[in-house]
Amino acid sequence: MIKIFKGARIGRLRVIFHLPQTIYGAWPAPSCWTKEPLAYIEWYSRLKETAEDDHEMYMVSKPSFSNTNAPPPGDIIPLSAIRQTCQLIPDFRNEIPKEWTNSNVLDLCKRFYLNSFSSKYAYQTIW
Amino acid sequence: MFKHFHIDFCKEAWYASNGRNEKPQMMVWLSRREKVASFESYLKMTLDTQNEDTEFTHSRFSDHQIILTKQPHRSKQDIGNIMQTHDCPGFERDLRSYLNDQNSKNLSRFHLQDASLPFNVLDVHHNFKFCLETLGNDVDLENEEADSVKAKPKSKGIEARFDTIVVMEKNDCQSTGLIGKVILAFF
Repeated sequence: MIKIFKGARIGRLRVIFHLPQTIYGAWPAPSCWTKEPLAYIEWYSRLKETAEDDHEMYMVSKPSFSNTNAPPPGDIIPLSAIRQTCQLIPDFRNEIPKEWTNSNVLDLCKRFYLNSFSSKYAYQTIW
Repeated sequence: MFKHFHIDFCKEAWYASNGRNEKPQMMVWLSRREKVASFESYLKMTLDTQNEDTEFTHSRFSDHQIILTKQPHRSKQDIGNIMQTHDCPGFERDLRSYLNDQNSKNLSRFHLQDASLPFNVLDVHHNFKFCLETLGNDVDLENEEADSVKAKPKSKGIEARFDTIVVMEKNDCQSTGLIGKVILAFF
């Protein structure tokens, strides 16, 4: 079995793009610029060494900032570094806020469980 | 035997058509299958050295793991516009530092803050597909496991969708350590 979870990190894909081949309107781009597709990811917190007790799912949260105006941490990565999609279950605690809907819960909720039971593939790779 | 013949050449061709003006469609379908079959036997004849490998190369992901559309969904998008529609205020900042890393870090973190990008538009895709790594057990080529990922801004009543993903860190980052000529300068 392939150990995917060593060195894995959870993020949210924001942009899929290519670097342009010309810069400043007319000049050719530097040769070290990749022609591969790239992705812009906003990161969730790093995974712990082990999953949580009882349900054995990992917990991820959105990074919190002292300065709320600062953009969340992100990175440009090669598209090939993306291994699979994953499902995050919102941490509902005691009460479900009324304003959470399926289209905005990823933005509003701060803590999630990484669902390792969403598919057979996820079950076999996320542990 | 004839019963099966009927199934292969008629029924399957019929199912492949859309049921309207079906005869030409069935003919085209059949002749294409014929061409593929004859080319396959030609390949087998000429490349009989790799016997085992060829059996597995009919994967639709054979040599490229990632499937992107040929044309970007949005070409020449303004970066400020991307940051707004994709709801990613840190994009330009991180793009700058990424390009600076590619350029063997010729600007310090302090100077990077004031640097500007040498371009202001990007070609953007809204989704891509890729092949999940096979798990070793129950490998099923017929039903290959593929994953599809979206990063799509809001459009005409359809909500935006930005998928959550598992990323492998520090995987093939080392291979881009090519020291090219430094042409790019941030001003």
